[in-house]
Amino acid sequence: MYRSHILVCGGTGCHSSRSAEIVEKMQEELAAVGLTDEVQVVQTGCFGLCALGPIVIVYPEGAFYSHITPEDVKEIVDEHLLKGRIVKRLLYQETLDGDNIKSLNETSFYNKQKRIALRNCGVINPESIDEYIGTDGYLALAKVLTEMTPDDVIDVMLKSGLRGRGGAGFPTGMKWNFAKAQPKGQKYVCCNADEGDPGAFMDRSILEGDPHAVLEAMAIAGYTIGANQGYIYVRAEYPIAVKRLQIAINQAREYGLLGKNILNTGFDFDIDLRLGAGAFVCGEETALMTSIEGNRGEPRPRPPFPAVKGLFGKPTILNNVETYANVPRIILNGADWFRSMGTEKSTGTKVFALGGKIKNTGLVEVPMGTTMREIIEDIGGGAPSGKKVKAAQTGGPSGGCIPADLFDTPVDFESLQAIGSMMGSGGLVVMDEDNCMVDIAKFFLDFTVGESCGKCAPCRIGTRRIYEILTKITEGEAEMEDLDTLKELCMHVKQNSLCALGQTAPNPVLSTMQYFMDEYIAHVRDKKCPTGVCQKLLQYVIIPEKCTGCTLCKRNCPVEAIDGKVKEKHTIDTSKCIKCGVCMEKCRFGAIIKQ
Amino acid sequence: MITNIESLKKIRDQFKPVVDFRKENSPDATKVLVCMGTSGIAAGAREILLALASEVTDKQIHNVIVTQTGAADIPGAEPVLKVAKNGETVTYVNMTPEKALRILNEHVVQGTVVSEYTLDAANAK
Repeated sequence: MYRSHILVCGGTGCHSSRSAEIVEKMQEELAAVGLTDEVQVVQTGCFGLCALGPIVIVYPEGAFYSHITPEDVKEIVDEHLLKGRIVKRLLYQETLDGDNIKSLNETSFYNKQKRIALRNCGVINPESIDEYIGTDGYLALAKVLTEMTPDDVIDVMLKSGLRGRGGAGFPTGMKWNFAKAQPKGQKYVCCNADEGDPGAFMDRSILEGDPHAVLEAMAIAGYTIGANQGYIYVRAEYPIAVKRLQIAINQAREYGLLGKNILNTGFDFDIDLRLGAGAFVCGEETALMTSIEGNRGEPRPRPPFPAVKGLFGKPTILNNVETYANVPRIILNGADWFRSMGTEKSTGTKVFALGGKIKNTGLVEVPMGTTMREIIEDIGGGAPSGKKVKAAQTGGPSGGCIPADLFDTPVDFESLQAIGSMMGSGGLVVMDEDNCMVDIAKFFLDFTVGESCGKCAPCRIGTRRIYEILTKITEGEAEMEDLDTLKELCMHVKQNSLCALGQTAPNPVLSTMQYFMDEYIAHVRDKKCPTGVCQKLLQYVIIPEKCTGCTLCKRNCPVEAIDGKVKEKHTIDTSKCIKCGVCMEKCRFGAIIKQ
Repeated sequence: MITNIESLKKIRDQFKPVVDFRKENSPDATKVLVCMGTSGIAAGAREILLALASEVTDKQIHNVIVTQTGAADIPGAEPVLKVAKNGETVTYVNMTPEKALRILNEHVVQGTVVSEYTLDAANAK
């Protein structure tokens, strides 16, 4: 029995900013004042508000400390835990309300959120199966095994309307039903934890914060379709997630919640990890299974679909981490409870990873149908610089850019597709006025060119040609005809690629062309980059009125492109200039500008 | 090894209070504050805090926050306990763990102020 709990975020973000050291120091300081038996220190998963990390929450008061360093620990222990005085200077300022502290649920970041998939992240110790069981963990599995037939489970899943959270949004119950309908024999349950979109970290956080939820859901799926073996395909770049998953699997085996004859019901199910090397294409289901089989991760044509012929040629279901995380709650609380959240066709909630030019970088979970504006402005707090948000990219390299004037679009599978983007796995990258949309499209294409597996020509060659045209545009060497070629090429790659990687790779280009054509035209026709991002289209010039002839720029120019004598106006020879920007940085009079 | 649903529920019942402790308390929760300045600690406030905290967990009394606060600044009255309920704060003085548990049961749970231990009663003497 502890009178106080100190929760320290142990997600990847906070971990990188020394949260492990904070835990150690906390224990040392507590021991120094003799509080070890009264106060429990728990390393949890992600709280979501990564921008404020490392985060420490002290209960029962619910004091939310932000940006904590190991040096702050002594003060928290001495003041708060020993003397009962909350350290106000370290509190998340939004929770400070005069002399009182507000509940987190009253802050703008949390009050619109509904945490289902993230319910235990930042609450339990992910390395303790007992704490997971304390949240009704494994009771859904027990209920399924003792009270429900596989058909009952499928019935609940179908009624709940749960759709795949990995991006495509296929109804989960239907997927399970296909696999169940296959003749009895060896079948497999797989979990796709190969989260590869730049800027997406929803699945990582669930695995780090609540690994047992995924194991439980996979066992439920195994019982439903008649499989006794599961695989979690997780990327090796997620070392904390891998470690906690392995601990969780070992604990579940020890408790007999994985393995032979689970809960004495005769049901056998076990799970093993398979580590991926971080290839983006392995997030595609057929490539993922090829990789688990020990081969090079390349997709294959569908049909046959995995539910019929999947891993090792056997019927297989493959669901995303976040999809699984919803399953135990749906079993316990019922399909109607789940349907009560979200929209008619997109039920439940969705986790988004907010990143880019946004104040509250982090993880948010909102009911489907929440508008982009609510997520970006109300929860995310808008751009940190106070600049205007120009667009948001959903769905990573497979998705599209949504312009700010469409931010009232509700976030659900259909609405996002209708405006040329997609839900994707939930990455949401925000861009402000300083971002060049052509450059953004080029960034994503650079990514897909590198990640294309090379099996089919449209993707292998097509994405590279698209990238080359984008490069020409950003360097001011493109003609207006190139824009037509670009569009045609995009459509070709989209229609002819073998798997989703190639089929969706042109989306960033097509959506930016649809909504930001003026920027493309400015690059091509006027040879200008309106935001000043594209180096080749820039010129550094000296404003004669402001130049004092101090020679500082001339002395610092690495290519001797600046001419001028002491106390005379200097000039830049644009034919020699390499646009490194050193002169502008060095000038003390603001006399050098780029245009 | 867990072989049946009953033993699973047993573990659940054991750890549910631990996890629930970390849930957000509602703003209308009753606060039980133990004054823990230097004199309070010297007079035995720590034992009182621990007795209250374990009672709340063991009996699964909900919507109550047992925590500490700074010195009470009431000479000769330590240990001091304050109960903030429904917007009213009652101060109890010269506490012992036994008296504190009685206050928890009668005032916090049942809603009747234990008038014989209050500061007002002490002043009236």
